[in-house]
Amino acid sequence: MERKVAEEVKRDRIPEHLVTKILLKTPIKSILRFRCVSQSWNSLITLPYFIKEHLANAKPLILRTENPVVSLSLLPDSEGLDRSSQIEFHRPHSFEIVASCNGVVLLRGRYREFDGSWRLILWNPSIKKTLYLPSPRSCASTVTTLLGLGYDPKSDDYKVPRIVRLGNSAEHPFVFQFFSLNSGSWSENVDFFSNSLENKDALRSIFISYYDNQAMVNGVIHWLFKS
Amino acid sequence: MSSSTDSPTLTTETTQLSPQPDTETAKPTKKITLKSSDNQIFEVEESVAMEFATVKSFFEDSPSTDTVPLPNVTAKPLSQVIEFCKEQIKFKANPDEAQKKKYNAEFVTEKSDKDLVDMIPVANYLEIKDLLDVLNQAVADRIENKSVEYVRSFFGIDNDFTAEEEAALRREHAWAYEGVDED
Repeated sequence: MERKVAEEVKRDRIPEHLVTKILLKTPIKSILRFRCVSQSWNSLITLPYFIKEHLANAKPLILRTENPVVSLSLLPDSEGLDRSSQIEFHRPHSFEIVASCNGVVLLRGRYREFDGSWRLILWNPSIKKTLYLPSPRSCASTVTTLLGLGYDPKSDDYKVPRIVRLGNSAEHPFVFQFFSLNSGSWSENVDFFSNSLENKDALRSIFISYYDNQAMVNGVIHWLFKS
Repeated sequence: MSSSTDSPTLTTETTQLSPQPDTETAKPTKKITLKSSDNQIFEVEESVAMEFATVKSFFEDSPSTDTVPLPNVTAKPLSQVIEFCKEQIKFKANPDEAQKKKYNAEFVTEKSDKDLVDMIPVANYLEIKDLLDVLNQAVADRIENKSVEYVRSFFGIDNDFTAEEEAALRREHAWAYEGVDED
């Protein structure tokens, strides 16, 4: 019956730019399914413009940890909790949520399989995709590590900045590294701090307290330092 | 639904007895004539016609005209769009967000798929942003839990994927195909 109605509609197609507006109001799960509708729908849905617009219209999400499970809940004004977005990847035996940005979450998990070493994981719960990052240089030897996750609108890229002190004492230099999602690899800037901080003496005494203290203000990552 | 009992004002007032909501808005108003592509004539109050940005700019360009031809618009969706805009005028005069929401919801609920799909290009052409938003949301709600095949049929789209391409896309997001309504 309903199908008949739908076929009757066939004569009057909706032009594509209006279809875009409809799909911007459609939830992610449906949109991923509708990539199959046709080639033109698939290209429309995977356009960076469309993804950004859809994100801009998205409802805020609350991330909750109930170790060892991370679950994602919609804000209370929408209907109920969505428990279906629990982590569906190879679960590390312990992990922390490091940061999140635009619905993408950075996790740090410890795997027995990798000699108990840490792996960084980017997780997009809305599309249920995960990406294991390659290990950065001097991953194991360092004591202090600061990690974050940000979006760079200039290069349309997600980046994981990491600040490490290459040793135990205040004399050891800080190294700034960042992972670029577009390139899939880490870059590094040894002089970053000496070039960008005015008070170099203050730098010596900086103590990076913990890694999950990122705050995003107007799209810029801020960290809290103790000195 | 119980629309006949708790909202008689919404349905009856709009159609015939040109509504004169008793107080401040009760001024005699100028009528404007709209002509659909299938040559039907619609006389609407100026305030309603001015809700259509396209008609409004038509009048600003040629104020002496008495009939506005709408070559892209057929009578049925036009009459429904007019019905919607008449109500919106009332909400403009007496803002009541809850009532407006209720009206907008009922307006789309009682329409067939075809009615909605036919109205969307009309609302777009006449540049009635509120209505376009309401219609787009209504269509989005109707297709949300539907299968790919249903959506193709709804929009009149032919599948141009090879079987392999489609299978690969389905594998990529297998979870998105779970819990879909029966067609």
